[in-house]
Amino acid sequence: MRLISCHDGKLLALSAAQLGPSPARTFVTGLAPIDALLPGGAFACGSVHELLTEPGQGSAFFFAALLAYRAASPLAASQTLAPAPTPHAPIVWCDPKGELYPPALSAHGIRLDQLFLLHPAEAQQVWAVCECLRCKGVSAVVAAPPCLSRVEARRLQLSAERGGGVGLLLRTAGPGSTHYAAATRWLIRPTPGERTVQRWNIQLIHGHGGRVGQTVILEYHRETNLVRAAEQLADRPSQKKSRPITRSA
Amino acid sequence: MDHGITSHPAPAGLAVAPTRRLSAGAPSLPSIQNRKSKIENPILVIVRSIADRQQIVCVSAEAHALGIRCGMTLTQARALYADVDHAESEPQRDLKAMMALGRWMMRFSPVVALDCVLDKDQRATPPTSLLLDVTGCERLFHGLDNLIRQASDALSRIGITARLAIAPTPGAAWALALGCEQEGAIVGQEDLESALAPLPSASLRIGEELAAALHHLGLATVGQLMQLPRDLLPSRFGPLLLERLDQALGRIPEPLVPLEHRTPVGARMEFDGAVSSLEAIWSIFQQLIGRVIAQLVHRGCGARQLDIELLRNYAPPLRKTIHLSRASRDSVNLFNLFRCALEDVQPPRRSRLRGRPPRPPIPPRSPASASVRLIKTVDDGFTGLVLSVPNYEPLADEQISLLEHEQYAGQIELDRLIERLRVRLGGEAIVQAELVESYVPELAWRHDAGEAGAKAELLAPRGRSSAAGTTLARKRKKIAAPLRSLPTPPAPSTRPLHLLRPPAEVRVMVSPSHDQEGRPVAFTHENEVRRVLHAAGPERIGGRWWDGHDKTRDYFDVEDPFGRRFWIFRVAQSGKWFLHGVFE
Repeated sequence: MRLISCHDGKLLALSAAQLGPSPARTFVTGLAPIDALLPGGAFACGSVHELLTEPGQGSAFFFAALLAYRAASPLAASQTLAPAPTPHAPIVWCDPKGELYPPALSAHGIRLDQLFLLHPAEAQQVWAVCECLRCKGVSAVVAAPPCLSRVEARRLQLSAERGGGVGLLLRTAGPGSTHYAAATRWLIRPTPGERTVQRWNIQLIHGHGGRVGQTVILEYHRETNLVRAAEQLADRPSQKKSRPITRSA
Repeated sequence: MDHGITSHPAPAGLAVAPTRRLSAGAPSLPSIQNRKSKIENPILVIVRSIADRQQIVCVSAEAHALGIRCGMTLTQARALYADVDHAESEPQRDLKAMMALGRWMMRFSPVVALDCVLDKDQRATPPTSLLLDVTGCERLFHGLDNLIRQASDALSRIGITARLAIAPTPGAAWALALGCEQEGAIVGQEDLESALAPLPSASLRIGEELAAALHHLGLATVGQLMQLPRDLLPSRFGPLLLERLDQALGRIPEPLVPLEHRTPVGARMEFDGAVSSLEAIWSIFQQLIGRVIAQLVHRGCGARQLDIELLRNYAPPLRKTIHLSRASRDSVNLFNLFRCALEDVQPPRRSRLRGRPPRPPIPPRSPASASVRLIKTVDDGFTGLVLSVPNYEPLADEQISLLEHEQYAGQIELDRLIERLRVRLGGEAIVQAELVESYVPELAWRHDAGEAGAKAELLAPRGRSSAAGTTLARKRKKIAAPLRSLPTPPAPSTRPLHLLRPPAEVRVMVSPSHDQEGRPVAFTHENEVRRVLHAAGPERIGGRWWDGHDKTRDYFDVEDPFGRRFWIFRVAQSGKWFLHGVFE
């Protein structure tokens, strides 16, 4: 089967082999509802994934940490025929303002000897992130780049393709994130949880071949350090089972 | 001149003893010279701590004049004179300084040897003098007296007081340098015996113990020793004395072990005219780096530091230093680092007029770096390029097993990435974190000290042993060792991923109100009132009272109706509330 693709004013002939799942490595989160949203049931390595949050809602640190952890130390089931990467591959977290708190990351399972904190100047952030993405030794790069131009977004994706790692971009939904070249984009919104359970709505908003538009609830149980994902039930908001102990009227 | 210790036609030894004291075998002499510049007090002794006492191993002339002698303890010296300054003996540094001086002395003779005296346990004591074979060198300096004067002048110019002597044998030169009152004695073969005869017997390099024994027997001078029957000397004093005597008199040869001549690794090229195009500089750099790599390959070493000097007309040269985290002699890697280092150099005007510059020969970097930051102006271009490698260390050829090849390649690439980022963004651009055992959240981690150590090592001067050179890769392996997991991480999940630095003060409504112990029900942050739906806590964290932080904090993990979770705390003493982190 031959397909014709029109891209950037040029016609390209594609073969079916190019369209199928690329031989590149993939990784899964281990949370079935999230994996099920994805094309091929797994996140693609060697590409950029964007994690969007609404303005004023912070950044999706937790989901990014989860993905970075899984990209760096993949689950056994996710391994294809490709050679297994190192068990604790390096993660670069671009943190120009020093917001990240590494001990919390280590409590979530990311070892501090695999974590590299990058502190670039504002103007060189995209360059530095590109360099990290191009490096074959880095398994995941987490960054919150400023407003990206179309070229810069594409450059990040190309760098990730060369390096084979995962780029996780924390961006704010809105006019600042109109240009993207990511394999998948996710919208993460906090949603009311319980006293020791924190919840997020995770929605796939872009991803070729994925179930775009679907929302999954990600739950994090504080006390047991457990992460769960559940499909959102139709027409039923997640219920607050327990009332807070002290609550103003 | 008809001297003969070896097969050289006219051998002559020049002993240089950079000493302030005449006692033979006084160690740490260069260090006295070194420290003098730092320590103001001229009454200085160098001590070696042996168990719980500090024994003096070297004294300055001023201290000697006060009656302070080697072998005393520091307390005894202080009893003699209260205001005695002391410094710890550093034999390794002294040896290094002595070797450096020896290499410097190679301007007078190609054969320079450190004089290592063996003590009674056959251990080499730190060298205290240098022996130069100046055979044939007198022609260059128009005579031996000129040579010795020039050497003496040069040494005094760099602040080293030394005693010099020239004699046909190293032993005799040493004895004359230390034992002769006359400075700069030159003795030929014919009057060797007569010159040695009045010298004290300790000047034969026989060690203090043997010298003391001879002194007790009344054998004060070498001449008295020479008159004794030869057969008796070994049976009475051991084989060393006769050997030294024969060596001094030239009866048995004493070959010198010369210092290895270390040519500095480097290459330079001067241009015919000013070269203004950066591309041309790049291609010249590639030529030069090829030469440098050839020298490094010859030595089996890799560069750890690369100094670049771009010579300019009417301006001081532009200097750049590249530190490498692992020894490398890979031209592509070095070239890329060079390009990173030169990024803040403005391409000169002429090249800008040519429009878009052609792509450099090796473009493995991202196009972003092609945009050159314009900081320094280069008006006339460069007139030369000098490369030098002041710090290099042996590069082991590593055997890579087939299966781990990918991991290994990744690690190499990661090291290069770190080098690149550091060259371009500065040393603090990429760091690792390390847990610190502390309950105060913001003090529970720090930037890795190991990294800083590695950096300090990179900045260390050359000449250190290769064993001390630790690459970042090895550092990381060390980090991965189980020792690192000793500080217990905080209880899982109770710490936010996003921590504010410093904590932001917030206004909080508590219930019951006006209660220092109340639970938060709403708080105002960034002009937005957030009702608290759930509040987990409090988690009380005491301050580090021993450091002066005596505030106790009560942390609450609060969630607003939209599901955002914050980590706020109340300072128990003042009742003020702060937002410290966001769970997001």
